[in-house]
Amino acid sequence: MKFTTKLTALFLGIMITISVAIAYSIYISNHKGLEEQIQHRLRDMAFHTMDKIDRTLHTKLEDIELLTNDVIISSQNSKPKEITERLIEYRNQRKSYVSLSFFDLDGVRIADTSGLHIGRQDAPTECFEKTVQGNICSSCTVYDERDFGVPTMNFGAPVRDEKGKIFGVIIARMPITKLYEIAKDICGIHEDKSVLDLEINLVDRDGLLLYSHYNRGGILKDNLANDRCIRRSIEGEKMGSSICYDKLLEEKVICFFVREQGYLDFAGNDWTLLLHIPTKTAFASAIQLRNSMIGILSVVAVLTSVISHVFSKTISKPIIKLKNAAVEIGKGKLDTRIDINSRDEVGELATSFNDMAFNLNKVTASRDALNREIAERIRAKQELQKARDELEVRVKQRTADLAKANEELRNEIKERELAEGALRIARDDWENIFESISDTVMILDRDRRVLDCNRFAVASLQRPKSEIVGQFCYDVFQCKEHFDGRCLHEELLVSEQPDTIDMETEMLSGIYLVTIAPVLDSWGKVIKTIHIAKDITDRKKGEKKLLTYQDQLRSLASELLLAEERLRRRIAIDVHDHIGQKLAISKIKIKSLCESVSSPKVAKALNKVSDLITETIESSRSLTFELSPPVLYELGFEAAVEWLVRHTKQQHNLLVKFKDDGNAKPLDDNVRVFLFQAVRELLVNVVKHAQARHLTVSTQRVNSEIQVNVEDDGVGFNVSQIAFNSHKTSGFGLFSIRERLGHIGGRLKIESVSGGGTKVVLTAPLNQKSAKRRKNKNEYKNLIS
Amino acid sequence: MKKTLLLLLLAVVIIFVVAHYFKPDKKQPLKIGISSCPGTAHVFIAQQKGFFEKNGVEVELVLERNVTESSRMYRYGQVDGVFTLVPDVVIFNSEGIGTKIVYVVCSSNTTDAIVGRPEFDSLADLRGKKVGFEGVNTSSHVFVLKALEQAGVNESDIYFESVYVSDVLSALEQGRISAGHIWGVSISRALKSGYKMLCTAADVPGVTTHVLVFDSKTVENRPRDIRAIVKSILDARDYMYKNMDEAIVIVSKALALDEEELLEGIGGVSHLDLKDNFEAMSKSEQMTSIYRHGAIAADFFWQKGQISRVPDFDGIVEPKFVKDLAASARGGKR
Repeated sequence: MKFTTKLTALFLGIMITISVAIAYSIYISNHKGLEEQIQHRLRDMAFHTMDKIDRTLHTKLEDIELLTNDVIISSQNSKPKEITERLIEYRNQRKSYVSLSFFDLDGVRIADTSGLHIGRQDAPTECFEKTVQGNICSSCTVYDERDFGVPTMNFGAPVRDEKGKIFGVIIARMPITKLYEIAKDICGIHEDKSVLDLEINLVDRDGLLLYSHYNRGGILKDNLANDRCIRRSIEGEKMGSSICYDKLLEEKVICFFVREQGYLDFAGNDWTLLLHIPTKTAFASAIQLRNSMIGILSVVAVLTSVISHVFSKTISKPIIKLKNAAVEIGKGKLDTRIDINSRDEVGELATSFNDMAFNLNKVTASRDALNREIAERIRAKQELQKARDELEVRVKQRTADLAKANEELRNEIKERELAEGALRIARDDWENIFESISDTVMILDRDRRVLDCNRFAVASLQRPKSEIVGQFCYDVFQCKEHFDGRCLHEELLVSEQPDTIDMETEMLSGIYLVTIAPVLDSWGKVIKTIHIAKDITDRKKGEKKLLTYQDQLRSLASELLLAEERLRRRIAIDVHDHIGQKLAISKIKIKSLCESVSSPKVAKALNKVSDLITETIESSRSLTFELSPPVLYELGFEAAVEWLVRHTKQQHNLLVKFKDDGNAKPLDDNVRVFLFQAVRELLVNVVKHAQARHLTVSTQRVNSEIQVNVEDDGVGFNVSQIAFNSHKTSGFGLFSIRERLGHIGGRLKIESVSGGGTKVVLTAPLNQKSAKRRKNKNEYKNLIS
Repeated sequence: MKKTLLLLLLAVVIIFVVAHYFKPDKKQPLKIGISSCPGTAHVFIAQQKGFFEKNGVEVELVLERNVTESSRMYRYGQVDGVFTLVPDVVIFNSEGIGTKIVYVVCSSNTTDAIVGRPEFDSLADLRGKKVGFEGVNTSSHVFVLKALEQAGVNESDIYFESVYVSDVLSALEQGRISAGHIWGVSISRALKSGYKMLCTAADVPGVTTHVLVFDSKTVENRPRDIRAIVKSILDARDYMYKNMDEAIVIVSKALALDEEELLEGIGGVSHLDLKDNFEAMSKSEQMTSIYRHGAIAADFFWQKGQISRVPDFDGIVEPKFVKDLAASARGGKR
């Protein structure tokens, strides 16, 4: 245990011992004083209460004796009602009796203040017996009468006539509870509160409880003869006290008893008055003091603990410092000093301790220096040895590393030789391939300087390789920096993507397909470009020829169409003008002939011929329209298309609509003819293949073009597979329409989804050059003529 | 560490010592004497429906046949409180049994009565006859004497017999008495048997008022419990009036009474609610005030020489519980 703890415990022990001793002595002296005081007070109360009870009983006996001398009561001639009224009057005046009764000598109740048991003979009581025997004012007994609810004290007195002969008895009943009124003032009891929780018991000479302030249920039932105090009283002791355990209250009580002494000529009944007070109540102030002291002691204990601890700490602090300094010096720290400024013995001890430490430090200083030098030398020698060992190890290590590095170097040289060999082979292969390419190949740096070129390039340029390599490409090709405003090399440096272009150059005298590709470094940056020029001069010439043939073919086709249309038109006119007219005249003639013929048979035959002519006229008219509808030339394109739509509707039972925007659409004749035939071809296609229910044809002007839309809700078709396979269609197929539209500067657009209908849009220019228009007009005139 | 442990040990010892000396006493259930009177019917509702438990008080009801017997139990200290009548409270206090009225249960209108043999038409006809009551200085005694007094009949004009209210009918039938104080369900039985009602409690106001009383020490030591009891009875009173059918079943079982007769008995009393109690507990010369009832009873006893001193009713009536509950109710706490 530490010194501080010991000191704290010591101080705490001393303080607590002293405090407890003081508190205990205060409590004990207080307790004893209180006990004496209470006993003294109880004695006074008991004595005075018993005395007052005796005086009261004496007074009551006197009262009743006086009552027996009353004129009405003592008269044998008085009626029971008069006696009752007198008794009631007496009861009301005295305010002590619950009931008064008048009995005859046989014990028959003659009058009663409560009107109870009148005329009834009561069982003889001790009080009655004594009174009948002539003991005036002598008897006082406690009875439990059910009528009154509480036990009563009965006072009896004989009633005598004028000659002194007893002829009746007066019994007055006073509730035993009236004793409360006697005791309460003396004992300081109030209605609502007992000052001391005092309990009053009155017992007779046999120990029977006559009255109890707190044990009301035990009245005339409980016998307290075994109570210590009562026993002492029965044995003849006049008064006394004790502390005993009350079974009813279940606690310790302080008791005091007084034996009845009587008053004047009233000898008393040998009753004993016993006063109880619970110790808890009696010593309440002492208990309160004890509890307060415990509380205060608890606080004192805590405070003492704190103060003791602080005080112990203060005392032990310099001693602990001394101890700590001694420990430090013991460890060899001779410069340790103590800082204590007190002038007491501890301060002197600290000063002596500091002197001792100083001297000890001085003596050991030289020895320490020597020891330090020796230690230094030993340490230097050890470090030297250590350095030498480390050096040897390091040399060995380095030698091994060198040998290893040599080996690795040799291996690397071998690998490099092998790589170089492979590289040489690859280079040779590359050069062979490079030189054997039959196109012009050139490699340029970023500045368009030629780095290399193949044999074909040398041959094409007809210059030695040495004159090509190192030159700028535009110098080599004797051109400006760019071809056609473009420089593939420049573009590639930006895009870093390969590109191809057709290029015609005078230097190479031909058309070349030039392909340029980048050579990237490891960072993805273009460092070189490779140019490959393929001679396509012959191919280009062939293509040009082919285009010329195609153009001529389209012109031919157009011409053919116009020629066909002219022929159709001529045939139509012939059919209409000549055959039709003549047939009509024939019909008229036959009709007039028919009217002039008398033979019915002939007439019938003529009618039949007339009908046949009519049918022929209809057929010729229909043929005329099919060959070349006159409306196309007489009313224009829109009217012709409307006629065509109506015709299709009638013939094929389709729901066909025609729409026109109403704008003027001047067309060249060939365009008009072509567009009409194209629309007719489209309608025929719809009828044949589309399985459509609805068909809409519309014409509109869009800027300088005419747009014809043919739209159906039929099965549709795959445009890419069907629309332009010219070999699968015959006649005026979609391919033909497209080609010829292209020829006249128009275009064809088809929108179709399988199962979702088809929309075909024909677009053709409205305004053609005047010369061409005139030419076409002439052609048209020719056609008309 | 050791120092902390030492201080902790010290603190524990101190707490133990202090707790030992200041420990509270264990509570016992409060015993209350009660009789089979319709006026206190709702007290059984409070018990059966658990209002006492709900308000946190343990109560033991001790049932007796008559008010006189339950008052005797209280007088002998066998119960802590009792449902009794105001005259009894005056007598208790005069005998040194410190008793306080904490709650006014009901006032009888037609539940208390004097019934007589068919040949008597009024109380005045009873001169020279024998009348029954429940013992000297009981409420019954006061009621009978006051009624006769009001009828101009003197105490000395009548013969009396101590008969319990419950035995009055048989006493009448046996011819032991000519009339008697009777209450509750017995009244209707008596009337059915052909006896005449000569007087009711309504003719003698202020005597047959039922109150709940406790001895002074209990009131002082257990105010919370008494407040809870008063609240429980008030709650039960409200419950009874809201659920009369159920209440009748409960009470008739508890008192072993016929339901119809009980309903008739309950109809003959006025069960005071909180507002009525507040009014009854207020000092006033009105007949609604319990102070007035007390004064009537005390004056009677003083006139009859049964008490030597008129008691101060300020010390007998304890209105704080009712007033506290009324304040709570006004504040919406109930």
